[in-house]
Amino acid sequence: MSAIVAHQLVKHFAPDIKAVDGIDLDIPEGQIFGFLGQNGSGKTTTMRMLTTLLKPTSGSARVAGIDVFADPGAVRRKIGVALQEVGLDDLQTGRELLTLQARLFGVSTFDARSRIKELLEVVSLSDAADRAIKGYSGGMRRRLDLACALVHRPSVVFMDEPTTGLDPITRDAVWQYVNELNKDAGVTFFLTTQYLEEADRLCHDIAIMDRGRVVSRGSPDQLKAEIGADAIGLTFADNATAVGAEEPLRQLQGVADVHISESELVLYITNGSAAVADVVRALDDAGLSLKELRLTQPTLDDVFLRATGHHLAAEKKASIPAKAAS
Amino acid sequence: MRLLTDTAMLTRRALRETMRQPANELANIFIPLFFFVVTVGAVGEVAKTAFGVSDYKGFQLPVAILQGAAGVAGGSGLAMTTDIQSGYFEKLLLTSTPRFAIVFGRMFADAIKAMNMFLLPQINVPILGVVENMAWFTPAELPHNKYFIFGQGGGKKLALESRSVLLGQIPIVQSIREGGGDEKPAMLQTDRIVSEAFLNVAKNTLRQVAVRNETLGPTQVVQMVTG
Repeated sequence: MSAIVAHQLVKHFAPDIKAVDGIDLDIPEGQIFGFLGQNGSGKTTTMRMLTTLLKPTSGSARVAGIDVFADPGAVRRKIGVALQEVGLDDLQTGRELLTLQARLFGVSTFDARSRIKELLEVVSLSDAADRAIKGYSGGMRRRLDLACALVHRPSVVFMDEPTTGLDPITRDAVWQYVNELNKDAGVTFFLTTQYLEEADRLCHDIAIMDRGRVVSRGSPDQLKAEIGADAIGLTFADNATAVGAEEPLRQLQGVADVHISESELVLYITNGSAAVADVVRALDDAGLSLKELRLTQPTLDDVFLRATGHHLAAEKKASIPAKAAS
Repeated sequence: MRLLTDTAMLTRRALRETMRQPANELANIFIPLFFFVVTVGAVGEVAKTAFGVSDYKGFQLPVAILQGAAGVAGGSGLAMTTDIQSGYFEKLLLTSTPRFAIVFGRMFADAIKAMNMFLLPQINVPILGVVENMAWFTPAELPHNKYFIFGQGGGKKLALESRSVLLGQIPIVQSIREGGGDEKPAMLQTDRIVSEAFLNVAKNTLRQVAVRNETLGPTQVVQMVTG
């Protein structure tokens, strides 16, 4: 059975602003599904429609087998949501907030108590649980928000950039918990992310969004395999040099594709290690000087570049913040 | 039932917030008190000599109390705005709680706070009871049908929480609004449902006034001490 189905989902904020431009989704139960895209690509708008917070301009969607727009109340009982903007009540303590959240979902007082204890340990907030939220750091607030999304044991969980602002240890703990919930309880996860590492490690299936449309879809391995070649990354002094290098490089044998983004050119070529010498020679013959050369297996960033024509924000692919507020 | 339990939980949350930022509530007491003192000082003597009003303080007190109650309600509106701005309101919307409970929780907390202002030792105005307005909807063509569109039992619950009694329940009936427009008080209408509801409130209020007069001494004029 499908956990999430969307058919031609469209959201226009004004006649000329197409935030989501006809999305079709069919996500099976028990999957961790990743929505990858830059800011403004339509990820969050899609999530807000699927979580009953926003009405679509047209199209239909079902979550946990329930029509999202005909019976939003029933959908809300089945889903957990952690939004990008962490909305918490600063005057309550973490435990009070979780208790209220659990009770508003109809969890009994007894069950809520044990569930909250368990969740506080997962998000490393047991020690701070009885302190007012206004004293929490950014990372603590995000962790508490995640716990709120999971407190009523939902069957489908939506997470909008769930690990943004988390330190590496907590991020790993969240990934581990997501994996455990997915494997042990069969919970379906729908998460948006700008972190390639997160998508690669966590998601069974990925959709790449660009300008309100899904431009590529498949498992991380499938998507990388589709490139069918090694990637040679070449950095030049400027964009004009990179553009000038395209023509001589395309003449080489085994070239599958070439992508240029600012001063960087990525050459997809079969048997990359053998081709490196030819690449350097071709550039030398063309009188073009090279700043840097890297030979890699295709990554999700290469997949993203091929699908959208641009890299996912450089700072996002580099790494998740090494040190965030804890 | 769900509406009531969730409203109670959200009421407790709103009251907890009040306890944690007492400065906001002090403003609700201080500002009306300030205007009360200024008005009584400035106009009290004029009212006495020009209009023969011997107890201007007693005349002005309900205004101050209402001003305080309005301040409580205003603060609550601000709290709701803060929830919306912080994103917490969306978190509440994403729960399966009935939508009315989110608003009712604040309203109940306001009512309890306003009642507590009346009960402050310095003011000590006894509460006779609670009148539940819009308790249910009754269409004119089906006078015996009651539709509890805002849930059931809220007035009784508030009466219990404020340790008072439920004086009566006024339903939503179209003729009440129409009577208001035609300057025809609901009590004097031929519509039996409406007149009975108001009559019931009046009878219970009289009874509670009698109880109050039996059990409490005469109302004291608020004493103000300066210096």
